Amino acid sequence: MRKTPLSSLLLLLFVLQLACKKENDRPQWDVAVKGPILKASLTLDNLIADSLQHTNPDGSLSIVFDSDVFKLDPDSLFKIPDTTLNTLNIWQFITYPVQPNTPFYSVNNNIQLGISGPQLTEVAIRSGKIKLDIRNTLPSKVIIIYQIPKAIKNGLPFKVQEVIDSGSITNPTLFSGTYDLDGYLVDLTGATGNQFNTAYYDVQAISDPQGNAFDIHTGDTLINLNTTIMELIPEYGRGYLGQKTIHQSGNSLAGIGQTIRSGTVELDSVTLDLDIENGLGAELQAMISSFSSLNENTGNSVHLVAPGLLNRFINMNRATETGQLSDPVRPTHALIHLDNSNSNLVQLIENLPDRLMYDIDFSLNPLGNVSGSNDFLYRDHLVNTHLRVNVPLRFALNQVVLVDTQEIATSDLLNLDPVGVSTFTLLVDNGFPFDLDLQLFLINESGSITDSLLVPSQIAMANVDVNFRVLSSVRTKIPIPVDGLRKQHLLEARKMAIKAKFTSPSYPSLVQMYADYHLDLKLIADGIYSIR
Amino acid sequence: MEFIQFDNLLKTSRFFLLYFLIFPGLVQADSPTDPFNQFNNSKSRLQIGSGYEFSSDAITNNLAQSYFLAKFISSSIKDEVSKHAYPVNRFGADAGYSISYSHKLDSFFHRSGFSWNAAFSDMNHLHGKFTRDAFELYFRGNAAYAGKTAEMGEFDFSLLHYQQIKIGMSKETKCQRRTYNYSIGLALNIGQKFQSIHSDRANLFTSEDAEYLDIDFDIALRGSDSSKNKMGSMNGLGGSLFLGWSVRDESKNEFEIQLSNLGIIQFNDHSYIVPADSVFRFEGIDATELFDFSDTIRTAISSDSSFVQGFLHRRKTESYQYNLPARLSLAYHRHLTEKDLVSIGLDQVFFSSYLPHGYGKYQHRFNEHHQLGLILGYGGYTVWQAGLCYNLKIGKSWLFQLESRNLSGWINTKSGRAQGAFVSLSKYL
Repeated sequence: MRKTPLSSLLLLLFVLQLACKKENDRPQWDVAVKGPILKASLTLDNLIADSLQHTNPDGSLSIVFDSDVFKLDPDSLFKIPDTTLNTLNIWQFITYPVQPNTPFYSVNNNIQLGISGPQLTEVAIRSGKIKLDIRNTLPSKVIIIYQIPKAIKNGLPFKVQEVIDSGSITNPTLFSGTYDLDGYLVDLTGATGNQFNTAYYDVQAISDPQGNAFDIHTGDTLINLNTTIMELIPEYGRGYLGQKTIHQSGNSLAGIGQTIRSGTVELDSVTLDLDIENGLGAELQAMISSFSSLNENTGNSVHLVAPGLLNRFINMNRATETGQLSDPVRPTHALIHLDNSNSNLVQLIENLPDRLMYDIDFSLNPLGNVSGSNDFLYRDHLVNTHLRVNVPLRFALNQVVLVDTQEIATSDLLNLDPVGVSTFTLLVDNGFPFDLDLQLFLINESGSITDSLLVPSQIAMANVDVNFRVLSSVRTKIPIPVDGLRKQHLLEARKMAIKAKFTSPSYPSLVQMYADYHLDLKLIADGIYSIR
Repeated sequence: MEFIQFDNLLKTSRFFLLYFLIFPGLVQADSPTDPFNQFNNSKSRLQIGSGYEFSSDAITNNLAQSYFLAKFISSSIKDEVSKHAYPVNRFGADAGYSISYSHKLDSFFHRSGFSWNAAFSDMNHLHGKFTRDAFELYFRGNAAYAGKTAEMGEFDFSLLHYQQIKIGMSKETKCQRRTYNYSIGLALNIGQKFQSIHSDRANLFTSEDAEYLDIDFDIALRGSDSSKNKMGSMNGLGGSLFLGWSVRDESKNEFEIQLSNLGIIQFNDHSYIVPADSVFRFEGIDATELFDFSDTIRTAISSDSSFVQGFLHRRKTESYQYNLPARLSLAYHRHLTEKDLVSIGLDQVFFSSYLPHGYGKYQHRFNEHHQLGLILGYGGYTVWQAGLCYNLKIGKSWLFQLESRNLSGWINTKSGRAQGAFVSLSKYL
């Protein structure tokens, strides 16, 4: 009986605990939600890279492809290969005593740099090294003084002084040292001053001032020195640059065809300005033998027809020096302008090219050494070809299809698991003067299209005036029912392909694009969401 | 899309209710009655009690039970709440257990009539205030508000879990055939956890075509150090004052007034506050890059969790003073006969969403072992209440008490809006 109160209490608590057992981790209920999910405002920025766009004062737009298409490689003019020269002197006479601190060997020597073509008399070194390998077999320390008297930096010649320990024939002392030549201005006329591509150096050997006198015997090596000039990159060179023809073929990325997959574009006009800049202190002759556009998607290639440009010599005078270190060259220019009147440029661009392809030949000093070996070059001011293509965005589009694929993480974007039967609505305010057929395809992990989200997919064009100038946007509502199957497709989607097909009104009437045109998209959700 | 305050409410409420259900106990334990005159004939009393109470003027027990037991909340359950909801609604809950000991002293500094008591309690308290729109928005969504504004402020939610160690003294004196009792108690409060959400303003406008949502809110989230909230964690300290006074005539009719638990807990400077005050228009996550044909290098869009979290970036830590829910109560007990006792009372809980609460209680003692009572009341966190109490004397020295002031939740499971039970066992020595 005494246990009754406690037992009753415990029994009550136990019953309460059982009654309070949780069914789930969290309570669950459904809510009806209505609200925006995604928005996007598309202008021509989204179709054409900012760097290609140009807004004219009246707000009309142009595509301007502005790029350096070709720069002359300095190595194509000349290179200074690594060069090694050995200085060896063996005593041929009777034994000769050498007192301490006494010069016992001295020599002047030239190094021929292995430059092919140009005959340079002077070169400024941007970077490079000189390496000295010395072998001493004399029984005394030797001081080696190595100089290039005509290599000047900050008013001082290049000079190295090293002390080499004593050695013997059987056990010589080896020394190796590498020294920077960066920033040296080197006279390449040699010891006599009338040569080219030749550096001049001086070596002197002195006995140890603190050491003892020693004898030099017949057959002793007074000096054994290897000089290696390596990795020389010139900043500037002077002399005669020689006669040379440089062929350059290549392509420049235009990138239009990457997004426009099909359809026809009618352009109003196109202009092309080619600027060939000669920064060499030598005459130059250029000839463009071919210029074409390639659409990689269609494989179609259109060759430029421009009798005034192709296969004609373009003669250019030599550049002049300004005497200013910051901008040392005043280049000469050859300007070529092409438009509808003197070429088939419109057809070239209507091909929607991925690449612009070209072949150019440059001939250096076509008249020979007319400067008296006073040609010059500055490494950063050689030959540059600059292309500027201007396409006013006044065009007609017929079924032009832009396709893009985006990686998406739907599971991150929207947690669709708790979404019940719902209807998403895509609101499109079209401010462009063309009809748009927009499709969003879901692509699963294996690359298969699993769903097409927009049915119908037609988006009406904006209201326009007689000149096809947009007056106001037009709204199109596209319902997107979301059922279980579509949820599954969305969850499994790894990519979304966006396909937009454009057709301008009254094709082939030309329509001008303006910077204020835009297409606004909003995705609105209206459905059941399960709170869990 | 869930809203910040509701998400927190969901989590905190759920956490609280775990305790709420595991430790069914009621902390409305005022001075225990002595229906069989056992304490009067004893020197000491040891009591253990536990209980819980949940009440609201709008939230039905059915919804609360479904919510806290993580069941599915159907439309019919929500309809019952909507039917009763006021423009502004309240709810409150208390749960816990306690053990107490009282002892009469023969003399105290050579004076008689003194007794002392000590108690340990583990207490959970929850209260809140919310608008009808807040309920509708949270449980039904915003679709019905297309073209309208859902007004959710003022919104309050507060929960507290703390332990209390109390000691007290009382003095009984007789004067002119009346017996007066004075009591005072002091308590040490150990704050384990608190969380609060307070909003002065929270409005959501859903445009007619749902193209945009206008959100306007001024909200502050507070809480104790979330890394330490287990039993025994001491995140705050404070004290409470208990005062009581009663007068009893020769017929044992008694009037009493009590002030309970007037105090604070000062939570330490690891407590956090996240103020968020913003007005903005939401038009969807910007997915413009998804349609960018102009560049081969693109960024895949993803939902920007920082969109919401961005408003919560001003989180900082600071000390916080939590005012405990202090109760002021007045009661008058009148014996109609030796076996029949009628009581009326009025109480108010401060620092809470509690409204003045009045009640009447009739108790009849059938014999020396059984007493049954009926309780009627109005106010507090809910509206009308009806309850029962039962006292059972076991042997000479045991007393078992069972009481519920809110039976509506037990009887009317569909639309009852209050529920509670209190059970205690006392041993007289």
